[in-house]
Order: sequence, then structure tokens, then C-alpha cells
Amino acid sequence: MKKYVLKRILYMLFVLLVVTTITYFLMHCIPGDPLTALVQKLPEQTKANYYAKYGLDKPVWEQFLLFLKGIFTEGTLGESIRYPGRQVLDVLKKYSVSSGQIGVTAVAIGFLLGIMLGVVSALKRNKLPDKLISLIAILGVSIPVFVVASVLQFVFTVKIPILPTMGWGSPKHMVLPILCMSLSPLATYTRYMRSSVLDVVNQDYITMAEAKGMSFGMIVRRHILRNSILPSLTILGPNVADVFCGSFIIESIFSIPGLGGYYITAVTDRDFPMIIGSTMFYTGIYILALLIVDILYVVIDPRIRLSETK
Amino acid sequence: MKKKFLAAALCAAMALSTVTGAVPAMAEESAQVLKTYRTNEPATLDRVAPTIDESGKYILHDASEPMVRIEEGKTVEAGCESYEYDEATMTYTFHLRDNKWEDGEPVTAADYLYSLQRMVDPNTAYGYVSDLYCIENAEAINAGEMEVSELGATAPDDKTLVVKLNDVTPAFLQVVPLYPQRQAFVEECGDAYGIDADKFLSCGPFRVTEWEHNSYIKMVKNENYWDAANVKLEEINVAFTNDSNTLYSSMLNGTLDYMETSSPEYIEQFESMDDMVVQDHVTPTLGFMVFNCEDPVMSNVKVRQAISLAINRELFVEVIYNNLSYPAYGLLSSANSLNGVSFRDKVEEPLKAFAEEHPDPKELLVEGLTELGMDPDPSKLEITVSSGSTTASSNNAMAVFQQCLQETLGVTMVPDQTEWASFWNDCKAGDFQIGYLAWSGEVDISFLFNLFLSDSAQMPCFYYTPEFDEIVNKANKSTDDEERFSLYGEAEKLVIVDQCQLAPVYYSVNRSVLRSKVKGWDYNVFSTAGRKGVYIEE
Repeated sequence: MKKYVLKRILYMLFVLLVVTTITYFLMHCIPGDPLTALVQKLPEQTKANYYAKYGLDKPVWEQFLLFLKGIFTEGTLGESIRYPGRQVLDVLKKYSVSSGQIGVTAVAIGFLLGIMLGVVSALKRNKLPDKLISLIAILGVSIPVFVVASVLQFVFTVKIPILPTMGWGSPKHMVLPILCMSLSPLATYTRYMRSSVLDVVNQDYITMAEAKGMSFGMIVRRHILRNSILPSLTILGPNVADVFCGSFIIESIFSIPGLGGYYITAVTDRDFPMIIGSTMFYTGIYILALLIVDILYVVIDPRIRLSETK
Repeated sequence: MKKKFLAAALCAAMALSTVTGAVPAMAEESAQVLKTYRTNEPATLDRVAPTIDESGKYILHDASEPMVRIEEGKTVEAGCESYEYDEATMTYTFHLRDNKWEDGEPVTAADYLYSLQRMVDPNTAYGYVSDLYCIENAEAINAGEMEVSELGATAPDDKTLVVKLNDVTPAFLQVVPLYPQRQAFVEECGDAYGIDADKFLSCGPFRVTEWEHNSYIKMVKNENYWDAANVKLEEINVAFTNDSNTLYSSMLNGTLDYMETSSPEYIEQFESMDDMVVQDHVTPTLGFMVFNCEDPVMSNVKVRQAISLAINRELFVEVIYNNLSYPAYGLLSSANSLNGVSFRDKVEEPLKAFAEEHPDPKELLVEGLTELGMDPDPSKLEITVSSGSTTASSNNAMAVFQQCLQETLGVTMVPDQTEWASFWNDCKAGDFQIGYLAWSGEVDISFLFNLFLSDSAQMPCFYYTPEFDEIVNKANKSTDDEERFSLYGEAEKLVIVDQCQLAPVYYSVNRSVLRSKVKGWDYNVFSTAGRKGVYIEE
């Protein structure tokens, strides 16, 4: 197990390096640089100073080596060009917290509720609860999040003014964003769970368990849940990675100081250090989440073996 | 059991970030609180940084004290008690007030001088540095040929700032931002100056106390401000959001006191409410097509004129902006004025007369194509219009252009939409045929004209003429308003009609909704008064 995790972490570092390298050269291929994104045309001397300050006057491969050197020797991802003075690492550290707070809570709620609804839906197949839950699930995946957000905002801040419209600082500010963001995972997990539970309940071991006289609750917990949760778990990893990086739409609607906006503006502003920093962050979290999910597989289903140890 | 524990621990690890502590809540409500917003947060509060944007300037109007402010179209003393201009030596002398920084230190002439020096320093890369070239030695310093200390500005004592110009510049006070910056503080912050509440020093009517990035900025009254007795607001909250539904809900439930909108449904509702004031005001922003005059087809002026005339501007503003913006037949909107007299009251829009002379633009096009030695059949011509926006509104604008050009001229138009940086990069490199964009004018009437001067060549039309340069340079230095009007009128006719580097499309209009209990609001788009005179009527 230890050996496996170690091996995986080494692979992860390799993947991170590959993704970083590719992104680094790709972003220098797109037309424009941080200066062209600014409207004004600067005098040549000023321009030259500006490029020199951020090392943009050097060949791309040299910039890349300097960037790697910065990571290994100083542990820095560089400074944002669009927002001079803001260290990319600080921005990531600071804003992934608010994005994560909202996102992880939303995914947790979506996951837990989704699992429950999925099981209920499958066990009551074609009965009223199943139909109701399916309706919710379909609405959840098909209504765009900004529509849900606008409607909820109007209802809970204008018609029944019990929550703040936007802003950040108190738990109250988090209620609506979490609600909006949990809807889509909720629907996804419900649908995944429903179909895998339907699969499992027809298995022989369920009949066997019933024949043994096991109580219904026990069957659900011991046999059905464990065997049907794996598909949902597979998508949980990427889901968690996504939420750390924030939702551009939700964060802009509710004025949340999260990472979402930085992802979009970094690209449109050609803010190279910010693009590469956020890509590395996302990649890192993503592969870490995949590793955690792989380990969780073993915990939940002992039949799965991570390594060929005897 | 062990496995269960492991599972729990792993889950906990994934949720780790949620346990970090909560941030302190927003302050309690008080009567003199203004709640407003900006669509994006400032990139910086450093007035001379290359990244300074409109949001940054907006905050600085409240949190800093420029030497003079523009209030209701007039220049009034702010950081200085008085100033005089000596025509013989072309020197401005400013006599400072007893103003203090938020920490109690006096604001001195050296602080104003320091920010001027930083602006012309080539290492700063200030974007509009050419505005400062009217100051002695500024251009040479920016080119790296002279030292920053040789700038033609001095602070003989703590209360006096002397700025020596190298040429007559009637717009000096309007175009050169004279904002104080304390050297010791700026140097201590380094690159981080102006990017956080604690990395910025206020000396205006308000001081920045909180800045939650991408969420809000909070300012409270600055008791150290020289005119604090006349500042009525206790607090200003500036939220950052650009979602129209959020703004709408916020106006209804009192989270905001002000919003701008173009949605007819919202306006209808707000107009029916007693406690809201709806106002329209034309901005200096012009939406236009710029022609790449080096393009083989666009190099012919008649072709350009034909395309410009083919655009149905009335249809455009109706379809794209619900008539919230005005059809443009000139370069300057009615927002631009000289000493309170609007440019548009003095000068007719040049394209109107030209359109009357040429009721059928197709004839012009055919003539132009023949001159170029091309097939005179317009249906064989394909032109590309590029835009730096991929929004729905931009798509619709392109569709309107397509329809106009097809119906009036019979040519095929291909839209080419990319995101801004790629588009602008292509434009600067001359890799386009016609570009569709908007540019905002400034308080200084010459601003939009200067874009076409051959030595600045900011507008990527690749066609700059000595004739135009001469007229504009003469106008820029004239102190006679009548003469300036007529010279700028000539220059406008050159750009829009005779040389036709640009086809104006629309003048942008702001429609704002303000809670009626908020008084003292300065609607003038060029106002730098800030929120100093605003108060809440109880």
C-alpha cells in the first residue's frame, strides 16, 4: 500500500511537469501578450523595460527554465503581470479557501443527498417517489446554474428578504451559493446511484442475503450501498477538484472572492504567470483527488487490489 | 475498523479547506452609508501603474486628493488652495492646503512631485505617459535620455509645487493626473503598492479600510481630511459584480443605492417607483469601425466611405441597444465640451451632410472598385469585419452589419470574432480589414483626435496625414475656444468623411437608477468630484 502510494505520487509529479510544460508553451503560442491586452500603445523604451521586468524579452525556453528554477529554488510561481504585486501563490492560497468552502460544502451536500435519493429512487422504482426524484434530477442537470441562482436570489433576497444578495463574510452569505452549486452534483449523483442500485438489487447475493433473513436496512447498508457507490465515487474526485477552482458564474453573481474569476481573466489578460499557476494548481488538486478516490475504492470494495503484493 | 478510520480521514482531508475561520462580517447599518458598485474590481489603486483602470480611478476620487477636481464641468481647487499660471514662462504654481494623510502626516508638495516623477519614469510603464510630454524634459526622461530628477517640476517648499511646461497646453489640468503619493510608503510596499487596503495610503475625503478582492471595497470617512467638516457620508461600500439580476435584486432590497442598466423591463419598473430616479446621460464612448487603410481593398477612400454610409445607424441602436445609445455621425458625442459649451452644439456631425450628398453609397463603392482596378460588381466582393468580443450583443451587431452591407451595397460580409487580446494584437499588427470596437473619450476634447496623430498612431488605421496633424496640433495649443471648436470640427470631418479612417456607429449612453434619498450625485461622466458631496436625506 505504502509503496503504491509512493509510486503514484511520483507519477503525479511527472504528470504535473508534463501538463505544466505543455501549458507553458501553448500559452506562449496564442497571439498577444500582457502588454497587447492593455489598450494603450506604450513608447518603445517603456515597452522594453516592461518586457525586461517580467523576463518576456527572453526566448520562451529560457523563460520556462527560469520559471522552473523559481519553483525549485524559491518556491514561487512568480508575480501576476496584470495585478503587479500579487504573488500567484498567494492568490491561489487565499482565494481557493473561499472557493473551496463553498464548493466542498456544495459537493458534500450534493453527494450525500444524491446517494440517498438515488437509493430511494431505485428501490421505489416506477412509484411516485422515484418519479419525483427523477424530476428533480432532470431539472438539476438541465437548468443552467445562473438561472437557478437568479431565481433563488430573487426569491430569498427580494420576495422573502432573509438572505443577503451578495458579498462575503458571514455564513449567511454562503447559503445561496452553496444551494446553487449543490444542485448539479445532487442531480448527477442521484442518476448514477439510481442506475447502479438497480443493477445491484438484481444480483444473486441480494437474494441470498434476503434468504438468510437479513433485515432490509442491513441489506441496503452492507450490500447495496457498498456495491453501488463505486461509479459515484469515480466522479467525486474530479468534482472536488473542480470546486476548489471556483465557479466563475456563481462567484460573479454573488460577489464571492474566489478563484473562478482569476481563471477566466488570466487568459483574457494574457497574464502568463497566473495562467500557468492556476493550471498547475488545478492539475495538482485533480490528480490528488484521483489518488484519494483510488484509495477509497479499496476501502469500500476489498476485492479491488491496488498493487500486486502478495 | 481501521479501514473505516482511514476512509474518514481521507474524506476529512478532502474537506480540509472548509474548516478555515470565517471572515469578520460587514459593518452595521448607519444612516449615512452609500452602497454602490463597480462591474470589476480595480487592478490597482496606484494611480501611475500601467494597469490603472476606471474602477481604480473611481476609488481614488474618494480616497485620494488630486490637486484639482472637475466638478460639474469646472476645474476647482482640491489639494491646492490656489494656483496660478504664468503665460510668459508657461509655469503652473500650486499652493497646497493643510491636508493630512490618514495616518496624520501632512501631505506635502514632495508627495505630488513624487507621483509625477514616477509617471514619467520609463520603469513605471505608465500607459498614458505621452499626456505628460507637455512637461519640460518629460519625453527625454521617458526615453531614458535624462534622469527623473531633471523633470521640469519642483517642490521649493512643503506647500508649493511648480510645474514648467514646454509648450502651451490648455488641457494640462484635465489630462495630467496630479495625485500625491508618499515616497517612503510607496518604496516600502514595492510592487505591492496599491493592491490591498493596507498597501495604500488615503488622503481624500474617505479612507479605504477593507478590500476583499473580487467582492467589495469599504471606505469610511477620513477625519484627517482638510474638508472633513463638509463630508457627510460616514461610509461607502463598493461591491464588485457585473450580473444584471444581482444588481436588480440589490436595488429592490436595498443592498445597493445605485445601478446602471440597459434593460427596458427593469427601467419600466424603476420608473414606476417613487423612491427611484432614472436618468440617461450620454457618455464620451464611441462605437465604430476602423478601416485598415493598408488593406488592398480598404486603401480606397470611396470604398471606405461607401461602407460607412451603408450602415443603418438608427436600425443598429434600435436592435442592439433598445435605443439606449444614439446613432453616431461624428467622432465626439455631446458629452464633450469646452468650458461648459458642448462640442456638438457648435459643430454639425460631418457624416450627416455627406450622407445627403450620396443617397446611394453603392455608386461610391463601384467607383472605388473601378479605381482599384477590381471587378466593379459588388456581389463579387467579400469583406471581413473583425471584433474583439464574442458576446451575444457582439454577434447581433455583426448580424446587423451583415444585413446593412448586403442590402445597401450587395457585398458579402464575413464576421471574424475572437477574444480581445487576439483581436487587438491583430489590429496593432495590421492583420485585419475592418475592426469593430469602442473607445472611450476623455474629458480633454482632444483625446480622440490625438489617437490619429502620426507620431502617436494609437488608432490602427495605418493612414496618418500631415494635414490632419497640423490642424489638431494647432487646435491643441489654441487658447481660443471658438478657434478650437472650428479646428476640431475640421479634423473630425477629415477622419470621418474626407479620409474616412473610421466609420462611427453609436454613442454610448448610461442609464442609471439612483435611490431618491441619495442627494448631491454628480452625473457628469467626467466628474472627478467623487462622493465627497453626496449625502443621504433622512
